[in-house]
Amino acid sequence: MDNIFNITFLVALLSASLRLSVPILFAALGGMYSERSGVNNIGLEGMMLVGAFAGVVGSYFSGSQWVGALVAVLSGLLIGALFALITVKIKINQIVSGVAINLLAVGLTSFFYRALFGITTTPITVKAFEPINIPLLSNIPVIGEIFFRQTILVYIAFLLVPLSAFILYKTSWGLSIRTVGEHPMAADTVGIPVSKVRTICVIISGALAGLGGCFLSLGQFNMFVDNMISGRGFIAVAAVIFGKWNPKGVLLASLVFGVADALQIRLQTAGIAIPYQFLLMFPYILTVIAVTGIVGKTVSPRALGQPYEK
Amino acid sequence: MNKVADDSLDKKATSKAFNRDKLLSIGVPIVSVLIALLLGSILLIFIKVNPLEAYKHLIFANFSNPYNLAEVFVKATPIILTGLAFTFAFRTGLFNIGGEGQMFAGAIAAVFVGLKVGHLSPFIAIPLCLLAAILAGAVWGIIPGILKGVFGSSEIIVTIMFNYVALYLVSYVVDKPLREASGFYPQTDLIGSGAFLPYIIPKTRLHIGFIVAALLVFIVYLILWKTPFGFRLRAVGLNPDGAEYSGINIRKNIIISLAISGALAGVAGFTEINGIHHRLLDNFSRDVGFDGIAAALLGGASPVGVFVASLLLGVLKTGANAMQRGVGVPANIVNIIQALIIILVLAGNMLKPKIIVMLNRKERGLE
Repeated sequence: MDNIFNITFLVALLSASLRLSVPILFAALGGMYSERSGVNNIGLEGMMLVGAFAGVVGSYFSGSQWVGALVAVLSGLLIGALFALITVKIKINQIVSGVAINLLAVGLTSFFYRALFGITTTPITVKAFEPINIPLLSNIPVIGEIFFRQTILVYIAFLLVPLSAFILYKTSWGLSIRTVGEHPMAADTVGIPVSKVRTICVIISGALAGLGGCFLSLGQFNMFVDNMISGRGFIAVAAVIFGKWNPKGVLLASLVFGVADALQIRLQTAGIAIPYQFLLMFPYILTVIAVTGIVGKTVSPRALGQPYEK
Repeated sequence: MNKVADDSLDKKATSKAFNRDKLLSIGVPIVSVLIALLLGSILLIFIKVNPLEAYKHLIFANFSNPYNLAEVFVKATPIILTGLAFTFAFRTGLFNIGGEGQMFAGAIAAVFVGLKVGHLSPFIAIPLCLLAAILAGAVWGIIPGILKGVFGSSEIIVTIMFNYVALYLVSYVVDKPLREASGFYPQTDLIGSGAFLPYIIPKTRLHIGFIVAALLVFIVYLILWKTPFGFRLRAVGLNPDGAEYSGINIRKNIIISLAISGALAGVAGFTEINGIHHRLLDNFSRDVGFDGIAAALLGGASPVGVFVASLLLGVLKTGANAMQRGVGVPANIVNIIQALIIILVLAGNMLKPKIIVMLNRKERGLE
């Protein structure tokens, strides 16, 4: 009991934390684009579910996890486009739209899973991503084990963080996104196409959430089960807020949630006296604490949640 | 613009427009349901099932015998309650996405009390269970309310997170403290029969919980539209700045509104436990909270609308099982149809002004 916190334990814990933070990181980065442009996206949960499902289908029928990931991203794009259509173009309330997208995703994935693989089957397993040992780096003790023996999607997720920071703060595109989210009317006056920027951002959020979902089905579990996202999309929404709408913050928030999740699993197997259900609650309670602003006030993009009328 | 003159001049036109608006508010949901079924039939053709055959099961299986018909109301009961919960908060400008968790909280309380006092007379046991469920649901709603009122935390995020906390709480309760005496399954013992809700129609599962839900439809309507208290709540929803200016304490109203909203969803836990399952088990009545949101959106966030929409969802849910048995269509297709209906109804409502303008233009063209 008292030697569970040794170095092997810590390495395994941190390595798992990194892995578990990845689906949240993908979706939260997506959510960041959407929210930075002014569109609340609580449909991340459903978009992840679609990605998880599409990844498995793609991998199953092609025999390649790469095709699976591609199908997941494309499906994410599609569901993102639908979300953009109803929130940006038709201007349905964004929260309500998110709820509808989540319901739709649950229906679509569970229906097509049964339509394709039968009503009562044991989950099919598919070809998934294997960890890649990065030459030299993976041999560094401790650090190598934690950081450089992960699957390709993990590396992609972490590379997306500086890339997003670059796009958001160093390109004119990023400036457009930020302006549209803060002051759409000003953006419109200087000729930035508000609806177009928002649509693209929402579609990006769908694609990234799809990738996050497919990381779960092709990088962690190697299968699809109904409702397998089980709240990670909502945690991603919280990570955007917790991370104060910037890539670095979102990364940190995702890591915090990853550690919480990993810790919960480890403590469960370590036979700690706390009932495992309380450990399972931990990430959700952490999220609640995060949004109370006790850990620092968060200021959202000013036009967040408001449809833009010319 | 001179509004008074406008009004007197266009009185006739206004009343016509008003009728048109009313017509559209009934027409939009009906057309949406039809389009959703049409889109669903494309999916059915995709899996090589005759849509007409499938829809025959989906709709008419409900009316084939009294048991199935009663099931529609059984399925609708908790949806009405979680739908009212969403509606109540929505009318005060809040999004309570936590109906699911508040229902679980109500269920835990109802089972706890039901196990303790179930051997007593139903006249004591049932009201005590109901009261416990109301209180537990209210607690589960008031926490996000307080966090919103005091810290300004998004009630959307907090209520969603509380769904999962409640879900794991149920899982814990049936696993450890209230696990059945034999210890075999992760579920509680049956509550005492004194706490069982009486059945309305023999040989069906239709219990008086449905009447409780129907009464609450009426009560919620009265509270929101016929009392000064409800007026204040709706004022906060319609125009928070104006409400504050006129001296309404917004924070207090937010907290009260979410507490009542949670209490309503808590009652759903009561009807499900005392009326249907008679014990608490893991994963019972999943998604009822979200179905309630669907019913509220479909019913235009009015109590009567929620009632009608819940019955429609009840038809779809009961029919889905018949359809799966009859023609082997995965029952989950109704989730898709349900989501499509919501999106179409909301889109229709958003486009309503445009439709009216279009109709007016057509009319003027005719004149």
